[in-house]
Amino acid sequence: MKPSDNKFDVIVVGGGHAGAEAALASARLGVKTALVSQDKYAIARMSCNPAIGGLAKGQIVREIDVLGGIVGLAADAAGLQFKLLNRSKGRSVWSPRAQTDKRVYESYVLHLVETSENLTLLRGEVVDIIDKNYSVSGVILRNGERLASNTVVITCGTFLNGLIHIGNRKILAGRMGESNSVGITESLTRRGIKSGRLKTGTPPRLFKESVNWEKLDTVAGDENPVPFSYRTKNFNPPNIPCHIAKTNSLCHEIIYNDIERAPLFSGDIFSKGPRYCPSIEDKIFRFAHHESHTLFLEPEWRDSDQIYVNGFASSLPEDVQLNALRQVSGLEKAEFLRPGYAIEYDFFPPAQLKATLESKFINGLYFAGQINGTSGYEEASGQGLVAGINAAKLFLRQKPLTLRRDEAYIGVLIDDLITKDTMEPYRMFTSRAEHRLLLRYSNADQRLAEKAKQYGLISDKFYDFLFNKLQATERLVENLNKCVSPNEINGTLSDINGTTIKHSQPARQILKRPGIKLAHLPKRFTENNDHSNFDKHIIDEIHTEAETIIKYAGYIVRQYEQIERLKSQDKLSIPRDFNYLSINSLSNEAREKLDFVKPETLGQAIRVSGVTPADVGVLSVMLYKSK
Amino acid sequence: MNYDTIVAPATPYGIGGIAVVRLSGPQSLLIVNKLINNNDLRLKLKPRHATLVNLQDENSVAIDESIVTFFETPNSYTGEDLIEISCHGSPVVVDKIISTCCHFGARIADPGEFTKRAFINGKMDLVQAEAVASLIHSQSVESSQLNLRLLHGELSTKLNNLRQKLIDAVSMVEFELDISEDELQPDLNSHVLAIVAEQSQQIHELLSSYKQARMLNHGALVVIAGPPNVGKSTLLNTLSETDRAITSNLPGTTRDTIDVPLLLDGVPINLVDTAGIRQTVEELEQKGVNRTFNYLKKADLIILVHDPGEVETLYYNYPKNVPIIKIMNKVDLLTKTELDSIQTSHSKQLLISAKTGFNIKLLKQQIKTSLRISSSLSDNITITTSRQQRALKQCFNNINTTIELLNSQRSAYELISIELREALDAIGAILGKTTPDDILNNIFNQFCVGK
Ligand SMILES: Cc1cc2nc3c(=O)[nH]c(=O)nc-3n(C[C@H](O)[C@H](O)[C@H](O)COP(=O)(O)OP(=O)(O)OC[C@H]3O[C@@H](n4cnc5c(N)ncnc54)[C@H](O)[C@@H]3O)c2cc1C
Ligand SMILES: Nc1nc2c(ncn2[C@@H]2O[C@H](COP(=O)(O)OP(=O)(O)O)[C@@H](O)[C@H]2O)c(=O)[nH]1
Ligand SMILES: [Mg+2]
Repeated sequence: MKPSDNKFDVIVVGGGHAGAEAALASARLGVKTALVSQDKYAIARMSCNPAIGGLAKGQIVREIDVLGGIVGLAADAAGLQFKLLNRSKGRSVWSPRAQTDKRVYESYVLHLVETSENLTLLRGEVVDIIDKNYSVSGVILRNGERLASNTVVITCGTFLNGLIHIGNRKILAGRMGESNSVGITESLTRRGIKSGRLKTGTPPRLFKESVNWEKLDTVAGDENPVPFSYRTKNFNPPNIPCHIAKTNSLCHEIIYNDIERAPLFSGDIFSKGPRYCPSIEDKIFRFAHHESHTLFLEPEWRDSDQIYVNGFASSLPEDVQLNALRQVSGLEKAEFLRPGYAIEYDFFPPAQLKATLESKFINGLYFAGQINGTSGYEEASGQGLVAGINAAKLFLRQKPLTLRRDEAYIGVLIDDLITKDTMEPYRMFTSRAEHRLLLRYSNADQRLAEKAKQYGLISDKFYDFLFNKLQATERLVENLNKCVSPNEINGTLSDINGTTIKHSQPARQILKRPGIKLAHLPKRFTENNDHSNFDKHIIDEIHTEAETIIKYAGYIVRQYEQIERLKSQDKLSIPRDFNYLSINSLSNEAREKLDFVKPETLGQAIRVSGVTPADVGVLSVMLYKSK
Repeated sequence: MNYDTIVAPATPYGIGGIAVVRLSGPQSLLIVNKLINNNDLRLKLKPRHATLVNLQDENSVAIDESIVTFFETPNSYTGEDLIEISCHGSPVVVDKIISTCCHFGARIADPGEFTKRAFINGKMDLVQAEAVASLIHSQSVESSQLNLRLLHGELSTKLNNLRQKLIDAVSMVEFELDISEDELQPDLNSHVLAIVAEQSQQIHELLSSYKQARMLNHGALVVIAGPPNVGKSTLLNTLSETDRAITSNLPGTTRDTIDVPLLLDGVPINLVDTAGIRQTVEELEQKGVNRTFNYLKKADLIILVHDPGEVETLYYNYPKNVPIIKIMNKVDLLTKTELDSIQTSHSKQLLISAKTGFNIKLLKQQIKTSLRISSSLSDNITITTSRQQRALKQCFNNINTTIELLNSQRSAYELISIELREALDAIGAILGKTTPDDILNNIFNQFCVGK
């Protein structure tokens, strides 16, 4: 290698979901980027569930898309079936989800990586970082080779000191079939960065032929699927069904009798797993009164002979897993391609990061994905995007990108990570967002398009498209101030059991009524809105948004008022060397927490767990003093 | 600096003397103007001039006669527009002024907040920072200890129970919105409704108990009303065993209200004598009559007095919801037969003589029963401060909106979630905050989450 071959503007360590998104984002900003990963062909591999999106996660995918990221495009290309979840519930919790072909997904992302300008994909295992005066200057590979860069993004997923458990069997691995990675944790803790241990689990994979499909019900996706990405063209996914099986008392009994053989129950694993993604043994133990749990049998790729048993994550010994599953109708002859397992891995408590995902201790060192204590592809991708953008921005000496809690789930995610204690792998829920009503999958463009343009994250063409779409929405909302007359609308109103009107009324007034949709109004409101050049699903989204804006107007205003009240706190920054330990008026807990977290703003300080309003009062006074 | 406007008593609570209430922030002048019951005086408050005004609440009910002083930014303690209201020291008055200010947009100051603002606005020396900080700390410790004491026992159990029920309701809603990918549970609506309807009732009881507690702590407002010259002032003197009110046989002697705090067999009341209610042209008397009406509106109990010469007079629509005791005074002037006949024709009236003390004991008894307070109310669960009351009122409103949403708009659960979370925030002002994590924890404990 020539010396220049070893020198990059940005190095991304790890080619998982976070790493791929980070490297591509950095390269898009025109910065010479290296993506170093242990296995060159396992790029953006789905370690677990072959699916993208879902509640709260679907919103994140949309946000990533508007910010120029690729997870939405990849999911659209790889989708086997699409579903808009929560359709019967409120609009802010509608979330798209797709089951995907994980092979197509990987190769799609790999192709992007390989063909992306400014991006070099390197095979290798990073074992150490190089730094000087608290600034990173490069990384060292297992073979001793050194790569130089003043900005490094670490995205090692579940690989650092990864340890798989199947009953009392233990395997050193980063994911089944892939070796783990040793060195980085030690390298970082030597530099004062704290690490911890978390765990997660995955269900068994079955041979397709071993399942009696006849006995199982099927679930298909939506008839009229909607793509994740605004940039997806020629969207025409197959609608490949998955299958449903039900556990029963025999199955539960087998698990219950051998529950001590699960490492979590036997005491082999101490680290915390995610409560929202419990193992089957956990579900049976804690909810003994449930007679049955639903299992989804999902193909891992098209015509796959490998079937993912969603809902049956387990770290019980292989024989117990198999025996229990074989009690289930349709799975009597099931054969494992691979048993379920749990994995323990290192993470770095993310309170040690700034909102840009840069380390507070080592300049130029960024962290993203599972190593920040999160779980999920979307959570990893969102962080990867932000870290990649900011690494490039640091190199370019441009303003870093941060997202607020009220503008994106990614903002909620990162703010929670850097202010809250990590007790278990963090998954996004819509209820974590105090401004949930404002964070809809269908308005990600309205929230983020300007920022994307401002930071140079998207092409002019894409921005123009988003701009036009937003304009069309605004015009439609405006248009709904016009009146409808009684004879235009009363027929419809009485059809749906509504009170009829006596005088003409602004259309928005009618639309505000429960049960009334845009489609109930006279055609003139929705036709001739010169958005005929949009695809059908875009027009539908424009209509949904207009409806939502009008129906929720009162509550939306309320949420904006709340945001306004809190804004000043987030503007007040706290100096990095602020000495919390010397302030006697702070409570002991607040002193310790704040000293560990070292919040960047007063707003962050307020959200640190254990900090009371009185502590915040004290803090704001002391902040003025130090100015 | 776009601060909001804060309000708080600047002097300690306690009956008697003068109390000072302070308002600080950009809206101070605007807010105090809304309390001033005199159009001429509005907007004419001159900086650093004390002005005597009548204050009234949002329903134009008189609160008190007070002295208002305006300090213009930056020449004030906090450096912001600041208003000082000197009023009578009765906690009822102070609470009312504060809650009216809040109604018009102020919020109750956090402990030490005036000082903090003073500091931030450069009204204090930098070296005082640590002192201010520790003041905030100690005041908040003190007030939380105070709160703890107040919240000791049954009230805190009740409020914690209320909070837990609300968290349960939010959890049910959130489980549907946030975790279950299935269709909406058909019985979710009725389950949530059952919980919140019960809590609405609970809060309603607590809010009414506030009234009881206020009457016990600060005295019930008992207003004597009726036509002129029937013996109202004499009755006040008899009941209070003083000569506070001037009596005479000239109608209209009492031009202004007189307020006497007294203990009626251990029950504290503020007994108010009013100008007689009658159509009159005399200006001064008319003013007094207006005040009388305002007092009647906020009374806890009205004693309506007539005498044998002034029977059956109906001068005014007395406020509903306020209990009334009707009295026939001066029965010492009647003969035995007259007395007997009037007893049958006016059977609902209590016959007394303020002069001789006839039936006064019975009247006292009736006052106590009508107020429905006994001197041993201590086993009742009550809220005690206007801060708690405001928090609960907020909570009550949110819960009632929730009920409306549940009854009208099926599946508006994300809005219901907003209402319930605001209700929890309001309770949080009394008990400490509820975080999203508390809700998620509850969900994970109660529901089998995860495919
Ligand atoms: C067993 C298991 C079960 C899971 N269950 C779920 C689930 O149920 N639901 C869910 O949402 N998520 C689940 N996940 C998590 C999901 O897979 C991750 O959240 C997501 O993949 C994280 O992305 P990432 O980019 O952070 O890391 P990963 O996808 O783990 O990628 C890490 C990448 O870094 C590379 N790498 C690691 N160390 C080095 C090094 N030193 N040098 C070079 N390259 C390195 C690896 O080869 C890999 O390509 C599970 C993961 C596992 C392993
Ligand atoms: N005989 C008699 N005179 C009374 C009684 N109560 C009041 N008076 C007289 O009635 C007159 C008016 O009384 P006052 O208390 O001033 O009436 P007010 O205008 O209702 O306040 C006074 O001369 C009192 O002495 C009573 O019970 N018996
Ligand atoms: Mg009188």
